[in-house]
Amino acid sequence: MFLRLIYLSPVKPLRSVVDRQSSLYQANYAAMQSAVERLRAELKRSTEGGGEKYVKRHVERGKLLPRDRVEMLLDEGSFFLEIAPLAGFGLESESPGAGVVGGVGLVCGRECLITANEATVKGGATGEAGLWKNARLADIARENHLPSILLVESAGADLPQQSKIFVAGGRGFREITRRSKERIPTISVVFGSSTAGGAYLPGMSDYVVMVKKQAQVFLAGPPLVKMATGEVSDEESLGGAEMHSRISGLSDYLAEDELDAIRIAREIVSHFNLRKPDLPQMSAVTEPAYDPDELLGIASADVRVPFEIRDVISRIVDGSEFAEFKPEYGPTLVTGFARIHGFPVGILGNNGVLMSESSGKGAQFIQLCNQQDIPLLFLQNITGFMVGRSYEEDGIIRNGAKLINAVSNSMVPAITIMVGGSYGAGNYAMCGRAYAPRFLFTWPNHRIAVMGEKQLSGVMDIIKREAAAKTGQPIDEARMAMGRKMLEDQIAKESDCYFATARLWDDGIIDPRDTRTVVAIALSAAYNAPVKGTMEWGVFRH
Amino acid sequence: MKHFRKILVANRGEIAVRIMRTCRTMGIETVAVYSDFDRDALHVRMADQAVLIGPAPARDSYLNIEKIVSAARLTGADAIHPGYGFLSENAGFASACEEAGIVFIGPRAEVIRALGSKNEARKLAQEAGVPIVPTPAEHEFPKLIKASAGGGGRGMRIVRSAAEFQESFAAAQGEAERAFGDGTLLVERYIEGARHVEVQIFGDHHGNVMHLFERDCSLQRRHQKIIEESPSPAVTPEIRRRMTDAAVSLAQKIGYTNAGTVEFLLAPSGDFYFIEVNTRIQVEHPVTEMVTGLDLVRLQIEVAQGATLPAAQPEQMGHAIEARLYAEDPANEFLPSTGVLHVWQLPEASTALRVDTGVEEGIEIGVYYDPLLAKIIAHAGDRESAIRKLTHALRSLAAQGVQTNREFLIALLENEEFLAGRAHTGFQLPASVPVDEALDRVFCAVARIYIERSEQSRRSILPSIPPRFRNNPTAAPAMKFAIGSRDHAINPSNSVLEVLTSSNDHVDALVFHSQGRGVRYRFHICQHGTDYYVRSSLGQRHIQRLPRFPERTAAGQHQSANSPMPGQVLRILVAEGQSVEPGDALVVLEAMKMEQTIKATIQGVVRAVLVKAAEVVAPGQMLVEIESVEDANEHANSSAKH
Repeated sequence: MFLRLIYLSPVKPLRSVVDRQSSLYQANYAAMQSAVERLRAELKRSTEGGGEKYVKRHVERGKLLPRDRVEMLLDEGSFFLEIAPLAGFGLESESPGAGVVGGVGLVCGRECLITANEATVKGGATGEAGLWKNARLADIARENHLPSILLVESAGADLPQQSKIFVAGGRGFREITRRSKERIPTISVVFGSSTAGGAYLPGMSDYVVMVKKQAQVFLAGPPLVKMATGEVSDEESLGGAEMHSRISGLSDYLAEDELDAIRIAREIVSHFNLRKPDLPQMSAVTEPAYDPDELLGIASADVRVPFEIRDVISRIVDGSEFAEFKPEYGPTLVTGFARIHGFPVGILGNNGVLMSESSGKGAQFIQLCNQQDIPLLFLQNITGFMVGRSYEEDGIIRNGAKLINAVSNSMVPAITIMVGGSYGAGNYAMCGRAYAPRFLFTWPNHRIAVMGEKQLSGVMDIIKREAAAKTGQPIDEARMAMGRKMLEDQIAKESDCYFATARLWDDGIIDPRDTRTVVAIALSAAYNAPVKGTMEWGVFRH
Repeated sequence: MKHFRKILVANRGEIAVRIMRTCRTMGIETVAVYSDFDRDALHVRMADQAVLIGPAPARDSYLNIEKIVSAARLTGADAIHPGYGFLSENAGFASACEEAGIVFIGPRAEVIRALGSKNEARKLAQEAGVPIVPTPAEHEFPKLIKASAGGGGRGMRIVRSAAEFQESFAAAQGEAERAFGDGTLLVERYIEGARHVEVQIFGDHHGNVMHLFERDCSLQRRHQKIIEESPSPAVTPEIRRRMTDAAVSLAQKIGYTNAGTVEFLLAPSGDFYFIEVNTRIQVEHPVTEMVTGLDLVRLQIEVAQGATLPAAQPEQMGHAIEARLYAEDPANEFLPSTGVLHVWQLPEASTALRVDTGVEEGIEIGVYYDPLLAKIIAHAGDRESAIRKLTHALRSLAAQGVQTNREFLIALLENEEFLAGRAHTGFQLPASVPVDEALDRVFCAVARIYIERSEQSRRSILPSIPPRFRNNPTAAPAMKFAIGSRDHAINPSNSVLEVLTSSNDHVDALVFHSQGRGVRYRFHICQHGTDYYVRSSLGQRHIQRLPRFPERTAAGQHQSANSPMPGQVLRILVAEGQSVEPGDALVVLEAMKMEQTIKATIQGVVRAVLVKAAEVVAPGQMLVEIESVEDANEHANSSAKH
């Protein structure tokens, strides 16, 4: 008889009791709640397309709205982790969501990257933010080996913005075929216009589905053809679905209607022979022992006020179990192992400013996770590295460089969540955008900049005064004060999480209570690609 | 007195099971006979031995005397119990048993034969001084016309005026000829407001006859009994005495042995008239067993073994009532419903609640036999309590996969007229249960939640995250369902339902019937492909999930003629390649003893005939495939081109 080895987890759950009655908790909670409410309102607006009139016109043509196309494509009950829903937010001449809906969801039980043009705004034309967003979505597909399904209905480039997008826009087509080479397939489902450069979307795809009497794919439309060669043609014969399916061969599948096209896309995916090559031993999932709702009262509304990162960890990891590494050493960086929805993860979370010791500890921990092929989760709430003479003497740069070296060369997937501030080189050391985490999401309290607006304007004030002193110019205090205030306001505005998310500095702002789910989806997606840590690093400066 | 060692039960379904149960308690071995269709049936497994006697149609199996007698010989059975129906009232079968030296548990063959003819039975009754329904004067109306050889209401007509007499007579004659091959008709006085009351009798081989009181079977649908009770609410002690005396004296007069039932019409005046004698155990015998405490099958066997009937007249204790649960569709003229019995949950056993059934979960209900699923019998001190108990039992019973008359029975039992004991044979049965659209949508909403949750828990990727997670909330598309012919599009947010917990076989949810707080219900769910059988104390529904994506239409447009109901192919009127116009007859089916012509609805060419004559077809089965003319032309054109 076999004895089944059943052992109790040796990991002790974190003890993390928060005082819900405290004024700090309540103030944080109220602030975060209103921030989440604003987020919901902004997100809702992002789903409304070009507004009632254009939505109505689209629907009256018997067409599905882009989000409905996505919903029909997804498995019923599947998640959909939308990427950068507020891309382009507040930018001049930008459409909601930058004119494209994109995200990760399940199609026939397989994680896919789905994009859909927002056809009710400018005919689905792409502007600068749309370019950023498409590039980001392409990165996600490539890095995580996710098949892409493009639900195409786009007028192409937003022509007035052409100077911002024409040259860089070529990359998207290159990416499709480079993914193809890496065995990451792309399906284009053409619902409407996909012309000129846009014609290369289906052109480069592995599979093309076109909707009868809707799809129009040509390099040049009838007016341009007439201008160029004098030939008179109509859109249907020039680039209709039937022509491409029966004659040109650009279309592989002729769909009767939109739903049929979506069904065909699902049929194609169902035959993909996809595997997760390095899926780890999964553990049974237990929910955290502490209520994730308390995250709203834990995270500081004012990012200058520090908070205990273990209180966050205990509300996002399975069973609140966290096996902390080096708890007594370098305490401003908390490191340890946990599981999220069964996936193993190595967590690095800030509990204060980065010091020499905590940097070294972080580098060591990243090496350990690479040794064991364990993905990393960075919980960023960082004002930067410690400054001052004794710290410089102690080698804060040298030690900080170790951490940046480790973060830069780490090969396991990393996910970053901005749970508070992100300032200075701390952003880099904790796997900010430039350090290519697979996914990066922020909380609504998040602020990001090279430094705080007060420090920054203060620094500029000092520099200006020094410069004035050198040249012996008198100081106009009123002007100085005004300049300082203006700069402070500008930096404050630019540090805002909406400013950041609009520019694709992150993959979206999330409700803190969704963190556990979002990280789980990100981890699951990441496992579509090989998960192999490295033991090769840059030279560590000891 | 001899003792049977082994009894062959020449029947199937609940009665075979019930007979075998008594045999077991008596230490008698049992032999089952079965058709191909019944190879996995309960009665086969319950028997000690079983013999296959032929294909599904009854005439080739359960009605085949030779095969049954040879099965008895093969297994060494010393007696045969015929049950009810099939060969139970077949004098030839009784004789065949006798000739083979096997005891037929029932009356002698000549008694069966004599009582089998309505005319002869009436004569015998008159001789015994039992009143028969008077023959009316020429101008006396209403009259009842019925077939002499008939039964089951076929060939029966009520005529209320002289004007309609000729026409009705001709129609009844035709019907009787077709149904029984004998157009002989009887004309009787039609008694308004009459009840159907019958007396259970027993005779032994020593000249003793006893009665076991009456049963009231007035609630009938198309002359099919559906609710039976004892005692009858209309029978006074005085009527009971006269009626049982009449039944006993008739039985004595003809030397009746074993179990029998003398049926009477009881007029509102208290006068009663002989109808016929059933020379077998009746479907509704359990109500008599409940009120007398006797096992009638045991008594039948003992009498057949030569025992003497008990000297003392049993007492009539309390009130018993039976309901017959049929696989039939009340919404579709009570046509038999076929399919797989996916859900079959019997009411929890309680004191004096009995369920006799021969079906089990997962079995197929076919077109070949009586669609009786179960008899539910309740016994209590008084009529009202017994009815209440039966109603409750029916409510807690679940039968899904086929349509049943469950809701209809419940509606009957709750009918004021019935409760008051006033329902007679002409009682207008309540119309089929009205559709509760709002409640249907609640059930569909439950199905939607079940689908979402079960899909989530079945999948390998992230089964533990919240179902349908969205970081940017978007409404999910409606899911489409059908209950019967009604479609329902169900959106995810539903203000009438709040789910508490769910598993792979149930959903617990609060239902908000009206404003205010919800009431918690457990919905049990059984899924078979795209069919969802959902039930709770709010009722039960068969919900079909309609496809998310419409079926892609084939290159050519075809039309197919499908069978509207279970039946048998009588004639095929078209051949492959033949051109048809809309309205042209394609196939004639026989279903429910009625001829049904299936017609073309488009102009085209018959591409394929998919059935053969005499083939048994299921509802929805494709019979003939027709290619429309336009497509046929297109096809020809494209062929010409290549």
